[in-house]
Amino acid sequence: MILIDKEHTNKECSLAIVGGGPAGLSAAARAWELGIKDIMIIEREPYLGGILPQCIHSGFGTRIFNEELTGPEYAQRFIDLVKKTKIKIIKNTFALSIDKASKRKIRILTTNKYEGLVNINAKSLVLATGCRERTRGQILIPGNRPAGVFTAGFIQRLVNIEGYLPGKKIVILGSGDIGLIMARRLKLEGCDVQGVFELMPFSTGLKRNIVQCLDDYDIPLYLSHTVTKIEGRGSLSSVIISRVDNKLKPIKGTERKIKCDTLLLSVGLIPENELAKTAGILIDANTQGPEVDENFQTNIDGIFSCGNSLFVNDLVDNVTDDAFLAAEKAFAYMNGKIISRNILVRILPGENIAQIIPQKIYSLGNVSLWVRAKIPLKNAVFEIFTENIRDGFDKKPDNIIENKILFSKKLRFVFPGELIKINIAKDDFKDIADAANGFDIKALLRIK
Amino acid sequence: MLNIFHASQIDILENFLEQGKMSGLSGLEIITDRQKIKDLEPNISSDACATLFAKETCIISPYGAAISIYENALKNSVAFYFDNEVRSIKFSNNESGEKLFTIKTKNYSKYQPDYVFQSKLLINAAGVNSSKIANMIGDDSFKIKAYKGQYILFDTDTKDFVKHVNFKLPDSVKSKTKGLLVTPTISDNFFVGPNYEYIKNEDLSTTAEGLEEVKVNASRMFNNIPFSKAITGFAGLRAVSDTGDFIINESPVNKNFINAAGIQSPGLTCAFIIAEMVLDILKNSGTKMIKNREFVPENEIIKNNNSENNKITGNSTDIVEKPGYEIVCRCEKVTEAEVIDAIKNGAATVDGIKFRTRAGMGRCQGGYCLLKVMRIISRELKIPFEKITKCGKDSYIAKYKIK
Repeated sequence: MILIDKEHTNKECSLAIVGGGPAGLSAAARAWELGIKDIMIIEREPYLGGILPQCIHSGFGTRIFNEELTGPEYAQRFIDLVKKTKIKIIKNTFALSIDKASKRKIRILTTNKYEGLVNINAKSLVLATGCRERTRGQILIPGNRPAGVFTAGFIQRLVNIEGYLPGKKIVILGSGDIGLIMARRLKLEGCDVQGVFELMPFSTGLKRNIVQCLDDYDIPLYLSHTVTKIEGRGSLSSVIISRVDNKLKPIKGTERKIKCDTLLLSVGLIPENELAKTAGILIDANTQGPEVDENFQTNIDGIFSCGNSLFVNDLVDNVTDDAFLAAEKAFAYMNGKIISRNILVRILPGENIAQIIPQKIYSLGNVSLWVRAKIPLKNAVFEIFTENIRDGFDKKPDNIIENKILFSKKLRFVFPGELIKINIAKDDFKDIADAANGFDIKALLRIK
Repeated sequence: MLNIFHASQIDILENFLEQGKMSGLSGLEIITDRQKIKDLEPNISSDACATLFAKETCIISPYGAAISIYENALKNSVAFYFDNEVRSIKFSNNESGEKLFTIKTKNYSKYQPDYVFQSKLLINAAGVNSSKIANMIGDDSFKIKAYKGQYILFDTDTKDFVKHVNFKLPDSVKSKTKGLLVTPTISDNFFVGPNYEYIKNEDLSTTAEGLEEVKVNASRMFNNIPFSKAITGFAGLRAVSDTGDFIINESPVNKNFINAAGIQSPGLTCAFIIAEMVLDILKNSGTKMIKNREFVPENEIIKNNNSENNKITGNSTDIVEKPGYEIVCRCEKVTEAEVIDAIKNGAATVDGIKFRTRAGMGRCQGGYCLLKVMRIISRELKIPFEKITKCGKDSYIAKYKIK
């Protein structure tokens, strides 16, 4: 526990960015380009780049730089950009809490081992705090609690940066991208990768990763399977794998034991918003990131969110895009150009939609929606509709008097692993807002 | 709060109230006003029809208590031999005609020998194995069975969910437990559990069925338990005796052999009283006791967190570092100074540091701090990375160095 004493140093800046990963670096670079002079990046590690330095595989930057870079290379492009500017980089510094010192002043309490507690005061703040991995405990895999059960990101760091292997006989649970990439990585280090097991009947990873990381290396992918028991006292000795039914429940009688010394978990990422919560920022239960408007502004004036702390992205290029937008909007805010805080429409996720960003829109204009599907669909259609509800009644089906489709867009393929961006032109959006007339609107994905 | 959900159980509550009063407890009351119960516990099920409210109930950290008692024992020259399983006990005369126990162990650690100990007195506090130990001297006066209990622990996000220690009185009168708990911990979170299941061996694993049972039963006591905020599940064992009570006696076959066996809940609460009972038994049977004038009653805990004394000098530069301001565990906000202190107090494994500082106990379960903690262990204790363990024995984390 940090002892908070009353007197601590103050530092001033116009724009503060928490997080020196791809989102924070991109936001800083864009903000500088726009002409914001006094920018500070607060980073808890002694280096910049966030998670990218440990992502030594390629596939980064195909859209932003038109070439295939590795993680460290992608990070370095932005580090180089930022280092050419007068952006202040405050490393080894952990942001503890945020509050509003006054209407136009955001205060970030930070700690570091050289200066102790320091308040950083800023006119505007971009949160780029990234995400963390879901753990074995959160999905409550039964069994013992031996060493040898680790998250994919931990193992990636151990192997790629520290230079150690956690074991040699590997079982992977979860076919998210990092699980797939680590399957190949460990195979290349000479490990016996016994298979990737996925609870869902489909993989949540990118198609190209399934081909390049599993198929090319003869690593089997078992869909509709999960780990139902972890065995071993001090260290992991085996796991029990079971098939699951269509309700994702393990099927009795399908259990089989696999001997292994490492269980790598790639079972999801959760936006990291503990810091955001200290400021009273509202968190969306679906994205687990802040509720934002079309400007990526949170419910607290002047605080913006981007990157994986807003919602988990599948490509770093998208993170950079979001961060550019957040920086542009922070710039607009600082120039007094974002004022309206009356909700025009609120968008809720409906059928087959896991996440939708932004959750609310304040002003008329071209609108971009970021949508994540729950299941893969072929020949799908994205629709926005109103649920007009009789005044004074509950939201029971009987009371919904009209289901009006306000917008629709055909999509050939939809994958949970690939974020869908829906652009709505200003005129179309005006029609949606008029029809919604103050009611919430809902989006869904269905087969055409 | 000992809660009942059937009005017919009110007699049992009244019995408990009487028992409590007889034991000299104050602040006990039975509340039957449902609104009052809801005021005390807003998330409790509306089916709770009465509660025995013990206002003075407190909670402590059980592992914190265990670590403190252990560290105090160390300070008072108690020698500990971990990873040693007792394989045989003989009671016989030595050369000078003195009756002694000879205890042989099997050491699990590869690097240490097996031991042979000799002693005049032997206290059997072997938990679920205590009848096995008693059998070694021919004492078969009791049998111990292990009953497992599984728990689910929640994120600190949920700290306001429950405010008191809540039991649900079991439906069956014959039940041997006080029932399931929904209770806050001292660390701003809460847990639910345990269930009660007989097991054949010392199995500490959680099971899908057991965790489900805990969920179902807890949900009968409290509404809308936020199971999506669970951060881990774990299990513990109770040593249940066939006599239906704690066994604290000198063995019927050997008065130098004292049993402290079959200690179920509330074992931790009773621990010090049991220790005094054991001493009384020894005194009454004629053991001579001399006051130890060097006894140190209090732990002198090394705690330099945040103080300026804790400055260490950086390796390459002469910049002064203050580890009290360096966050190692992001979820529980544990500082580097606290981890260093834990190591100075005796922690040498990742779990040792976790139990002393809470580093790794939060929502990310060590995803962020594990490497940082390993680096500090490696630096402070000068052990190579690949030799660091989670909890001793062969529980290595960075098993192989890549060439």
